[in-house]
Amino acid sequence: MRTGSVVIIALALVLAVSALCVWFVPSLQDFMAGNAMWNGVRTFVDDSQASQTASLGSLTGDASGSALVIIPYLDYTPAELSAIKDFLESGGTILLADDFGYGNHVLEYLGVAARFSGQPLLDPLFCYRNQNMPKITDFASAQSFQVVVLNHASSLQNVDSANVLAWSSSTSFLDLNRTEAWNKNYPKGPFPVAAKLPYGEGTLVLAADPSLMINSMINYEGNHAFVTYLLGLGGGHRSVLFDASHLSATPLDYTRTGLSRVREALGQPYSLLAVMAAVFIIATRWMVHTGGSVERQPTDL
Amino acid sequence: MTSFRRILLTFFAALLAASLAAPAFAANPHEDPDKAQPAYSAVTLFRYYSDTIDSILAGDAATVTVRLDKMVYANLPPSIGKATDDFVDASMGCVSALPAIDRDVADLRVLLRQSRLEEATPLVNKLTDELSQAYSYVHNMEDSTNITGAYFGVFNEPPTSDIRLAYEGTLQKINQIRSRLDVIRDLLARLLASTSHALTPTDLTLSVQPGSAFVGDTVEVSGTLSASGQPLAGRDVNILFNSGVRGTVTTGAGGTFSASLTVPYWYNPRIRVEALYYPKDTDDGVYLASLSPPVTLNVLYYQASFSVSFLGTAYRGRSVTLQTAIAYSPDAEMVQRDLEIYLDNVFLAEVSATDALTWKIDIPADARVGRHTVTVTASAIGRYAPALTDAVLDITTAGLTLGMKLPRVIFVPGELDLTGAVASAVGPAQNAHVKVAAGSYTHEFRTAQDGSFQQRMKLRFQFGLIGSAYMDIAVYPSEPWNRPLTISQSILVVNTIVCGAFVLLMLAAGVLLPIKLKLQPARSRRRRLAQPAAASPPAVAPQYTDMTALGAAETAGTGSEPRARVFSWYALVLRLVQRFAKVVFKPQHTLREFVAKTRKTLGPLADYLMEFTRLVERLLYSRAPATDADAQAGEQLGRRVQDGLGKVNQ
Repeated sequence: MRTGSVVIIALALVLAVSALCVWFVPSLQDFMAGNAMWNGVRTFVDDSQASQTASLGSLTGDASGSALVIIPYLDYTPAELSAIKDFLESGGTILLADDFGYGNHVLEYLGVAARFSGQPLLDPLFCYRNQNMPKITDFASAQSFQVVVLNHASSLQNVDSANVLAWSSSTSFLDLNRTEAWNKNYPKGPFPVAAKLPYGEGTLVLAADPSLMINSMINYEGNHAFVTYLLGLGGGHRSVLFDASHLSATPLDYTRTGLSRVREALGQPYSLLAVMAAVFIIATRWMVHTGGSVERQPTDL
Repeated sequence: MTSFRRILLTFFAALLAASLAAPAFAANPHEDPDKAQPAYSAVTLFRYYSDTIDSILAGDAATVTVRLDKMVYANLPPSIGKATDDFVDASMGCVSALPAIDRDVADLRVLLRQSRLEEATPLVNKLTDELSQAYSYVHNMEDSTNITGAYFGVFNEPPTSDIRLAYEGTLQKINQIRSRLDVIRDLLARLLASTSHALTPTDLTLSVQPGSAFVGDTVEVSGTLSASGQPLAGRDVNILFNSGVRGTVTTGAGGTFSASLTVPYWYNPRIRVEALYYPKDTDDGVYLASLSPPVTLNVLYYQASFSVSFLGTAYRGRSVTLQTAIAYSPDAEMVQRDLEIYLDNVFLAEVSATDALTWKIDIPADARVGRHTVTVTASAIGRYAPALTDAVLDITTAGLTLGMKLPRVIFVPGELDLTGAVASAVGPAQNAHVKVAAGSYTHEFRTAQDGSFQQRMKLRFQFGLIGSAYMDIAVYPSEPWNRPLTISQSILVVNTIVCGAFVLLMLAAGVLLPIKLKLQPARSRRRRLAQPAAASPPAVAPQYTDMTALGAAETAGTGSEPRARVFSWYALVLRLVQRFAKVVFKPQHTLREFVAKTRKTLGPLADYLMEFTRLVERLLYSRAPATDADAQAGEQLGRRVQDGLGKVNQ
């Protein structure tokens, strides 16, 4: 066998095995829908039968009855912000769950006064295990859940009290200098941690912590019911979308996304025809090559 | 290890490192709750206790209850769980005991001021018990705080430390409660001491005529006030209806009193009537207060009864007819009543009716499906008592039916005809949102005003050959009275393009295989001819010696045709070359391929062999006849190769 053939076959083998590994090795990155570890959101996505959207540009048509979950850990382009605004104005519900990300960029663009404080919300008394995981027990109205546990959360600012859905406890405070210790100059709770803002025909729901949706938190106390409640605030929703395009992704995630796109592209009619034609030609050539010469043999010899 | 293996190993190592190391580079927006280290804050706990005690002292029972109810969610060491529970229980006890004590002290003040010692005595006993219980609560709070403080080691902390200050602050607040109880205890002692001297008891009688009366009618109340058998004239006597003062009358010369009082419009069947005297002015410090034995006044009034029913089904967003019939006792006249209608305590309408009412209730579009309460009330008018009745209204939604034949098989690419109608018991589902999903294909549309639809769903190319999938149809009605419909059915998806291509591939294979098979007998025959008589493995070609080969070639060359001579020499040369080069002339090889494979071994002799091969090919594949010159050339080339191989062997 020639050296060139060996290199080509080896390269094809490596690519195939790599693609399989990338496809099947689970993501370990925060908030990834494919991540079944403690920091992914696979449980939430599966339970809510949410479909992932790799691009906010694909949000088209009638949004009424749809709920979009956004964890804004990457910044937005003007086109994406416009898509979010259109989604809301056409009747969709957006759950903007942020703590230290780019949520305020979205709020600024939408022109609403509410903001994420961007400061860690600590509660030394009403918490799970330590002050970084505050327990929320004050809600605007009686619900099926009584406690929600946050995880390294922030808080909301400039929210009308009529729009607030949940508050932190009176022992909570904002750790302005991130020293994890109470200082008398720090703002003291209660702080709003979830709010509902009507916007156009739709509803903008703010939550000051996206981590309540991760696999290790979603089933704590009333977190699951709380998220379901938030998603249903815009009226009964028929479908849930999960924006996966603004999460910090690893090369593995990028590669998987690329593979998905390649797969989608190959699924198009013309691509499919081209692939099948190529397979047909290669198979035919191979069969002809290995099937022996068809020329007349020297029978006299 | 080969280079290829090294590259492969490096690639996988890099892939693994990239996928595992990535989370460490990212920001930390959360921590694993199962691995989080517990951390407790005694300072916050003591401050929370202090704030709670502030609310206790302020008498804000609601705030205290809310704060203490939340303690179950506090993150505290299990070791002080009991101490915390004790603090909560004691605080809850305190917050309910203190206001009760305050109320009782106020009542005691009034009773003692009015010299009503008989009524004051049980109150004093009650107060004593309440104070004792309150002291116990305070003691428990203090104990719990001390246990908590000891657990967190506050006594080892500097006096100015946060934890020590918070702890001391809590104890100070607890002492404030104790001080307040001390004040009440002293006050109680002083009150009792001030009324300990002897007073003259008084007697009071009472009668009410008639014993039964309609609301709004007048009754005559009379009685006598005396002290040690002597009538007390010119004293004020309060007439109490159900313990409330309804009127005041002054006793006459014989200590008697009489008054006409209107029966209040209290639509209760009985009123307890009592007369009360308590000393005032000059009587204060001389006589004791007295309360007459109670007299029961039977109150008469007309009571209405409503029967409520609904006509039709109560669909959300539509209206339902309420029917109400009003009935009274036989002796009552029918009068027009103002009725109020409520749905789940929300006022809907006020209408007037005498004996029956029919009213259309508009059910809100966002009403919850399920059992609701419709309340009909009538306010009181004179002798007619207020009336109220509840009825359960079961608000529901109508189920949709889809008039459409679902396919069992769909072919892609192509189009799927979606024609049908959606309706419910209420009527057609207008402008309903229909979502059809067949495998990975989706199509959405809205129904027409008559609930019908006629759509074509495009089924584009996708991967796959043939397989089963689910066809899901979801209908989301625009009307609030219809509920969504979901239908799911298993279907067979046939990809015609891929199937066609597959069949084409099979056909292509079917064309090539026969060609291959047609050649098979020839090759087999050639193989059989090439087998030596005494098969001695592994030689494929027959074994000859040089002399045998030469002899055979020369024999062929003497009297044979030029063509046969050329071929004979070429066969000889091939056999020699096979043996020399250790290359087997395989059935699938062409002559040129064989020459190419032996070129490296033969060296310059390969040129002679190639020239000889071209000569043979010309004779084989062209119509040019072989000449003697060809035979000579073949012989010459054969000998050159033979000689060359001989020299090499030597």
